[in-house]
Amino acid sequence: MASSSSASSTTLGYEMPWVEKYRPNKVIDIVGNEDAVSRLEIIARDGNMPNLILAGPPGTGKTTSILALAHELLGPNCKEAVLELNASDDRGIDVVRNKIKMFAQKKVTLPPGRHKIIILDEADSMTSGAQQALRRTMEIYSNSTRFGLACNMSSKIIEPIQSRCALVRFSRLSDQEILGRLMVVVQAEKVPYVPEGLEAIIFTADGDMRQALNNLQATFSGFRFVNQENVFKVCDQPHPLHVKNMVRNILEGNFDDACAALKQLYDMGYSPTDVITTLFRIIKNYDMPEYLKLEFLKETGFAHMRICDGVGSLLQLCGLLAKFSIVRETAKAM
Amino acid sequence: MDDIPLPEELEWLESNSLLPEEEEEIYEEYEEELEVVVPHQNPSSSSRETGSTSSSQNQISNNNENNKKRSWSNLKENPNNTDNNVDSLDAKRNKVIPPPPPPSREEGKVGGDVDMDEHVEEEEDWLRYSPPPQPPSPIKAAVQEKFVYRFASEIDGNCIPVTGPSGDRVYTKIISYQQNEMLNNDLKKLTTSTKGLISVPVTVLMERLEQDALAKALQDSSGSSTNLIDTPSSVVTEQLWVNKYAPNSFTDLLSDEHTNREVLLWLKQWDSCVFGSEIRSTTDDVLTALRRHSSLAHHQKLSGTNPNGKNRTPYSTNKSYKRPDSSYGEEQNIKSIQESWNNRLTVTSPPDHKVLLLCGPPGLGKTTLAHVAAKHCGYRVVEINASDDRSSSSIEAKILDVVQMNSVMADAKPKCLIIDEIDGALGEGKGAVEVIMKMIAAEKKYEAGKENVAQKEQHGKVSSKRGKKSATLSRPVICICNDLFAPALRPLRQVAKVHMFVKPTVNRVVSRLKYICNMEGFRTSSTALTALAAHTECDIRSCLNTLQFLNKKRETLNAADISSQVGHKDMSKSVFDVWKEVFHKRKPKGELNPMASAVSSDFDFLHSLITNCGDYDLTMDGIHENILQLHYHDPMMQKTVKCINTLGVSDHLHQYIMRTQQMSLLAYQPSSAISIGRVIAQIQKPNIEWPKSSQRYRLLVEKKDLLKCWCSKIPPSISRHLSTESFVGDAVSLLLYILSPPTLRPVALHLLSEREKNDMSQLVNTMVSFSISYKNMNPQTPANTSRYGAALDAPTLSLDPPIGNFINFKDYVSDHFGLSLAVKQLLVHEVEKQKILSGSINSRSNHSNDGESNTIEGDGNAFSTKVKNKTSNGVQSAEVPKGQLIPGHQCDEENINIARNMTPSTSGSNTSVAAGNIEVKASQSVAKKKHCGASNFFDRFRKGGGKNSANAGNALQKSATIERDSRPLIFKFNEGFTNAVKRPVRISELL
Repeated sequence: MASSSSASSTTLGYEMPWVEKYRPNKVIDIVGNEDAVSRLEIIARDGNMPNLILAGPPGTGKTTSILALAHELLGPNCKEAVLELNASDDRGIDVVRNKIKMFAQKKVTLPPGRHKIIILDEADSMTSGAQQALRRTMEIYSNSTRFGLACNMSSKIIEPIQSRCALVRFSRLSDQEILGRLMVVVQAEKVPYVPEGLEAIIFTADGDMRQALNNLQATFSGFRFVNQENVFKVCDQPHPLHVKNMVRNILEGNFDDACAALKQLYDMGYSPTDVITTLFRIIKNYDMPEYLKLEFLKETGFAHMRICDGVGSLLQLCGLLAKFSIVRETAKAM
Repeated sequence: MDDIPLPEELEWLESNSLLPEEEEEIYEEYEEELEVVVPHQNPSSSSRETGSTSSSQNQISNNNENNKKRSWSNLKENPNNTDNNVDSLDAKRNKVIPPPPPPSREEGKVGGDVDMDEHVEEEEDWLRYSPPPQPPSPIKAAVQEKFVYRFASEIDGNCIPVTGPSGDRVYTKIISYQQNEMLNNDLKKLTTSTKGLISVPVTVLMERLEQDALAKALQDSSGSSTNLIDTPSSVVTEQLWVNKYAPNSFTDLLSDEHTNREVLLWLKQWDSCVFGSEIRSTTDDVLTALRRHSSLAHHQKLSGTNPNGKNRTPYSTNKSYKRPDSSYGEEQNIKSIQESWNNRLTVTSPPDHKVLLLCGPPGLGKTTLAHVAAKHCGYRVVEINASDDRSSSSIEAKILDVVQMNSVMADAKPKCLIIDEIDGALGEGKGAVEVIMKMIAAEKKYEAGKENVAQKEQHGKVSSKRGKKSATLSRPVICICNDLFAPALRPLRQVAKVHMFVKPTVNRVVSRLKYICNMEGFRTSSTALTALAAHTECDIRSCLNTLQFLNKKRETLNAADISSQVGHKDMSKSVFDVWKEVFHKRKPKGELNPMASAVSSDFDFLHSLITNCGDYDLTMDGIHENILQLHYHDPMMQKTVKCINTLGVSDHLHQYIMRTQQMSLLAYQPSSAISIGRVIAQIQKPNIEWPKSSQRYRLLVEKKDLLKCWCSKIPPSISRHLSTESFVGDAVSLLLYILSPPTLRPVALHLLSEREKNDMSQLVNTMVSFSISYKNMNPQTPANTSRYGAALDAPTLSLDPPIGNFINFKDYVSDHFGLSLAVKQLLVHEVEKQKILSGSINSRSNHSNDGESNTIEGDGNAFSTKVKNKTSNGVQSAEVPKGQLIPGHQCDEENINIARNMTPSTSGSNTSVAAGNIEVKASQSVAKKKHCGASNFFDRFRKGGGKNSANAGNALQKSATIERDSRPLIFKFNEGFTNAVKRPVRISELL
């Protein structure tokens, strides 16, 4: 094991991030969201790409698929026929009015069924003014130019633009899909691992392929071996699952366990604010009776308020758990 | 669970309570040995020996139970592990970690046990079941033991007193930190290792992966040929369906028939103004020249507001109708009838509303309608949209281009301006609105002017129109927006003809979609299309986009596809929608729906809705104001109380957020709104009003300010009796009565009787002293007092500080008498007169007083300077100015003061003597000079009431005051004391 790690370290050198290295270049290689990807595939084959909005949580392959689509559609013309703008570029209303419009008006010789493509990554960070300015541009130049928007929250995109596009939702990748890709990478990079290590990586990634790869690389470059401890050493975050367990314990009446879990979290050095924010998210999405959920949220709000006041002690959090228990008891009594 | 165990119980517990060290040992032991059951037996048996015999039996059973459970758990774990060749480390971990905790079913069992068993056994049962069962038992025991003791002595180690809710005081043991630590370690292992970080174990996943890869490889080798088959059917369409099937003629329009017609009608109203006649609208080249010729004549007639034009226009519009589409049939007839009727109303010039404002949600075809209708009416469309520069100057230039220029080309059509997305890019959009408003205003002015110079215009309408300085709108302008109530559009809303777009019916959309699908050779079912239309809320563009996207995928489309594959369009909802959702309970769609998922999705929906809306402040406000208007069944007021409580919580949060700027806490606001909704949501539609409390509060503040302002104007001698509270409550109404006596006749002043005059003067006095007056008000806002009397268009007079408004309560009509306008005018006059009078009096007395004090001061100064210069002998010389100015007693005192002040600086004791001298001499001199009649000072003198001097001139003072009253004297005084005294004043000048 030691020999293999040392061997790989020599080749490691200055490597590009695995996320980039293993980014799929073809639509067909994209992992997960099979329905959406298969449709994109057909578009890549047939051309005439409609205006698209790809929406979904980070690390699910939105940008990758739209880039791959552009590559497949335009091939060698890619350079002049694709305009990619992301949040790092200036995308104010003036840019939309000038740069994008100019590009849309530009004449590029393309085979039939192919159009110039404007890729707006992270479109949800565009100002609403810029989006408004985009509206008519999208329509007027649709003969020659098509838009591909990628965003995390489609609600940040104004409705008129949503109406002009086909909205495709990307969901989080399943564990298996992530594992599949991880195995490919692991084999290609000859990373020594134990299955539990990969499990931990999948867990911390939480359906985010990019994070999974990053964590894998970080663990590998740090410890040269992927097992559970190493992974958790690298990726330090309050595990949603941990907090989820806590909530479940509360709901099942195991107050002591919940407390112990909390203590553990606290001892691991997470700030109470982190803990309570995670708790809030978990409760919001936890599948429990609505009355309980609302009451829990209320109590969390109060506790959060007190924590913001500076009393973020373990006692505070424990008190919150105790309140939860009380709420649960009264709910049961009712 | 009972709080306090029986004594035996306690004994047992105590004996069983292992010391931490002991336990750790056990734990380690237990850790080292891979077998779980054996070490577990040891500590418990040893503890049993020390324990009381009565409980030992139970304990055994307890242990057995635990053992059973453990072995069972191992068994249960095994299947997962059997096929893996995991190393020993993992095996050990697997054993340490128990199965998931037993569900609460066991707790229920405890409850059942309680009834039958004795207390001791019940406690044992409880020990066995209720606490967290999953950690290994030794630790579990430790955890369990931190329970209450009645006496502190029963606990070895640290304890803490606890007062129970019933008032019992009990003690509980403090578990040492080490125990916790140990527990934590254990738990950490528990959570990190085999709890299963992910739902499916990684090994299983890997297996599946291999299988998949195998299957894929198999498929690739065998089924590669089938894949190749469907490739050739590539679509060569260049266009988006949306463009391809965009309506080209008026009949193709999908939007609401009524709206379409209205828009067309409006455009037609421009015909007379834009085309002059029908000629330009037709492309008939043969007739062009002829018609142009006639149009000139026609034009002139029109411009002179000739009634002939009225007759012609319907004809012309009819003509233009016939041209583009002869297959109109009856619809056209209806339209022409309407048109003619309309045209009879609006004679020739452009319609009343210069601007048409189309609004509605995206994708209903607003832009399309505008384009099609404009084309239909023979205009060339010029569009300004949000992608263009929107500053007011550039927009103005563009509009001017459109309005004033004519293309030089032969087939020049007049232009129609379409401003798309006028609400978009707020702030900038204002520029456009401003320009349009300016032009409309100019038009109005021009209209007004035109009536006067109608004659002059006769000779050349065209030139006059083009050459005008202030550009007017002489071409139709269509504005398109999504949000009618965008603040930037407020001015435009008032002048424009507004058309709300309504959603087309689902049937219409579906039939169109079907048609398109047929054209494209895309097989669908109408149910699927209906689902799609409902999905996008009849947004036809979105439908088409989605369809085109789906088209690639497979041949037939079913409804399930749509709901599963295509993303929901996110609607931006207004606050009203949010409130509606909160108050409106959705009908459960079907009994088949599993409740849990429905509820959670509903929760998510509401949550995202409220979060997207964003304005929590307003949201909660609206909920608060509307909550009591709802009709929900609540006989015991419980729901109401709950809601108000929740509102309180939310308000508390909000306050905190506002105070500390912890914006992250805003995330908790939606949940409280939801919980309110849960309590009181109704099936029937709620009637929601916009919250008015903030507006009301603003009004209140305004009124308060007004009152304060008024109070400061009233002389303090009166205003000190007026506090804001008592004033509104007690005084205003009565004051209003006083201010408007019904006896006052609206006649000239000299015609009034003596009594009336008296009343009048009293009234005027009151008004002056309260500094109330009447002033001109706009007739639109009639104040309380002007309700009667004055004609509407005449400028009415109302009370200057509008104190009547203070008692304008809801549903309350004050019944005091309103004075007639004439009386008010009279009063205004009188009040003014009185004010001037009293003002002069005041100023006079003020001035004289000022002068007095100042001269005295100056005198004092002069004196003091002299004192400074000279020695105490200077008293005599100091008398000179004193004598001149006749200082009063105060002056003396001042002098003395000054003198005293001087003492440190000047020579000590002498001065005081001198001061004494001054005093005496001053009084003497005063007494002397009083005769001379410096009467103005004598009241001062009297007030000052000096000891010696008072007796001296008491009688004289009286005469002097009388004398003063008969001869009021005014003298001015320059401000600034030093140079004031420098000017010698003779007493004769003062008189």
